[in-house]
Amino acid sequence: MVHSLIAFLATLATFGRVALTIVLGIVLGWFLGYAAAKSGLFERVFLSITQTLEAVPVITFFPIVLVFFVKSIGGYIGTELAVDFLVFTAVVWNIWVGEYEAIKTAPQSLEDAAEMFNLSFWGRFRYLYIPVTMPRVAGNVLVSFADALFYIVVSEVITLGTTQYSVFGIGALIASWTSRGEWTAAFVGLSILVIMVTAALFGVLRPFVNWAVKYSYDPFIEVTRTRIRRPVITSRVKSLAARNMRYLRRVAAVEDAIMPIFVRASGYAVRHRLLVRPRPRNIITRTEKYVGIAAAAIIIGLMTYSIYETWQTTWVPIMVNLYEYGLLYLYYLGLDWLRIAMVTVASIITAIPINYLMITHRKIEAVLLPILEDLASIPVSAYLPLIAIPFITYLTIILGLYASLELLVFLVAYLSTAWYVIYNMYVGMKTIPRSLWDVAENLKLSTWQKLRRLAIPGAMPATITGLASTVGSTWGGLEVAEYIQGLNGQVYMVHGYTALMDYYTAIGNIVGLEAMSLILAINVILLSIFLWRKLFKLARERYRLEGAITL
Amino acid sequence: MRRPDSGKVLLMGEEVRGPTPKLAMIFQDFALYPWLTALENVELALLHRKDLSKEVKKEIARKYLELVGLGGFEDYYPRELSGGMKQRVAIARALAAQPVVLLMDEPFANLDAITAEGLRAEIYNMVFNEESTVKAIIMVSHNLEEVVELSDRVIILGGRPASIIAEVEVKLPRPRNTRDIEFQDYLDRLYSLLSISLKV
Repeated sequence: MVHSLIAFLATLATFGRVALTIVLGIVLGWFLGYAAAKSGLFERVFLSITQTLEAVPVITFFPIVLVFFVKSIGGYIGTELAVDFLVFTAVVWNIWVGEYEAIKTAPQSLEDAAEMFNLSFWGRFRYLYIPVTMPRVAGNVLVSFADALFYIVVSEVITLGTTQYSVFGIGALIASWTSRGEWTAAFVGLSILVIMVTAALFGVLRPFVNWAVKYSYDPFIEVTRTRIRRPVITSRVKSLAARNMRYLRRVAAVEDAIMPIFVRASGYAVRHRLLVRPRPRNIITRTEKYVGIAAAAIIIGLMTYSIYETWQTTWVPIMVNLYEYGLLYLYYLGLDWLRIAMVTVASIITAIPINYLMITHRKIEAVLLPILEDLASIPVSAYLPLIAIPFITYLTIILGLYASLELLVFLVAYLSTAWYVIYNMYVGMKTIPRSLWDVAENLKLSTWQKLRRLAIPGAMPATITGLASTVGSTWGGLEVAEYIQGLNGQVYMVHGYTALMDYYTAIGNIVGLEAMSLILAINVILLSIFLWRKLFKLARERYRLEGAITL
Repeated sequence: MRRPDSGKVLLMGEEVRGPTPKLAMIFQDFALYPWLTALENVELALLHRKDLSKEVKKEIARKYLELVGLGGFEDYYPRELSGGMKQRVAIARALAAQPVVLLMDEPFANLDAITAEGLRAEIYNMVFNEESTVKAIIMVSHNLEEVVELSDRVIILGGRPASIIAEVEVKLPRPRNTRDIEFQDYLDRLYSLLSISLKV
């Protein structure tokens, strides 16, 4: 009883942090998005920063940020701020990009009307810019909620060297219970978390999304409603069954109102991204050009100066560290990318049949979707200790510790990735116009042919566009699973980049951490330039549903 | 594709129980698969034919594309084609299925007036070509001129839920001239029938 009361309060504290960071992110995003949509210079800076950071495995920078906050501010407040900041960086990018894109693509006629009626700056925000961002905010808020829970649960406890810093929250609580071997308490805590996540999802977030979607002016929104017809029923018995089903369906007619909220919203976001033709970037004015050059010069100057100033104290040790261990870091980085590739492929392979079933069978869809939605929001990081138990006990005996831990890492990374892949693909398949399905029926394509020629290519744009952020989630999964601390008083780790970073954090090797963060930053930027942007372009061009959708 | 509430659909004396390529449909939005080329889109109609080899299917698809005047555009994606050309690909795909009846849902609604006019004339030649298996076409349209120009039998639907209000047989010799007095008479008749249905 005491356990559940504490767990309840701790979950409230954790939810409070999540709500705070998300609301702050949304409010800031309105202004940043507005500024980016209106000024050419700011737009360019904003886009390159958010596009890069959106695909960043933020969690991998946790240690370095923690060190900064915990060391330089210190105390409970320092830790609290560190946790909030980390969650903030995990949740804002997708919201911000969404807000910017919504403001940028706001219908010209509405803007002209605001102009005509001489609305003040606040008036425009109140009546135009904030409302147009609502559907995109709604589309992202559920993903951000899930992300935030995932990261907050891990970051509520930080071990730096021999000292442990923690804040009051459900993540810290479960961690301390499991490390002391109080399994019953841990299980109670987890159950409370699951119940409260479900309550928040169905009681707060779904109504919010339902309300926010009303603000969409997207003519494509109706496309989601179109469904594929069930095959024609031939026999008498079946048609009797069908009549009863019709009654059942009428009872379940509410399902449209309550069921695919997540999908409606995130579907809107993905469609908006894929279908609404972005307006060209703003032109940089002459003044902006000079301001930009001046600002860039000052920043480069300051950076050069700070590197020069701290060269001996900070950069030389990092360089030495890189010289000594650089190859090892790269090897570990390669290992992690291999894991990510495997997890991504596995997620896609499992997502295809699940989605095809849901798209073609309405009953399966009605049952499975809410379950998936709930599962996606329960952070793997919270129940990791529980699923880790069989891997470090029973499976270790059968497979050996190494293989067993590797399997655990794969499973956790998969569990933190698969939902998003499934959702993205679902949205993609769902937006395939009804007439294309009708053609497939008319021409008697087999299931395999429908998959190959229709469902999979139709789901491609949404899946690919979602890939950058799903890889971010996979990194998160690796981070928590590669290095498991405090289970039976032991530490379990595999060979991997995030494991080594966690290890460095634990032993307080800050120079090593800085070196590894540097490599990761370079890796992320290169990836953003050479992979994601190209993939997005391909998705937009090759697989666009243009021509198929004419409404 | 949809189950009838009552009654049944007969095709050459046999009941139609589900989608069949014998009743090929041309959609208002053309319904071309955007990720497949023109040729691959036409090939879709032949996928269910287990008796044909890949090469033969390709050959047949090519033949139908040429029939609709799109020889040379095999490797173009739908987005690279104009509205009229997309419509032709859709027709080629429907014909490749070797249907007996062709169903057309507002086939010219998404085209500009001039393209639509040109295509209407060509549809005869394509559809009633000796290569084609089509025996009849059922077309849904709001454009009365188009209706009088193309049809032998006009069935007017109205009301909510829609029911048959009137049936008119168009007995004009082909090719029909939209400026003929008789043609105009038919138009007037259809207009008045429609406006009556609106008042009801």
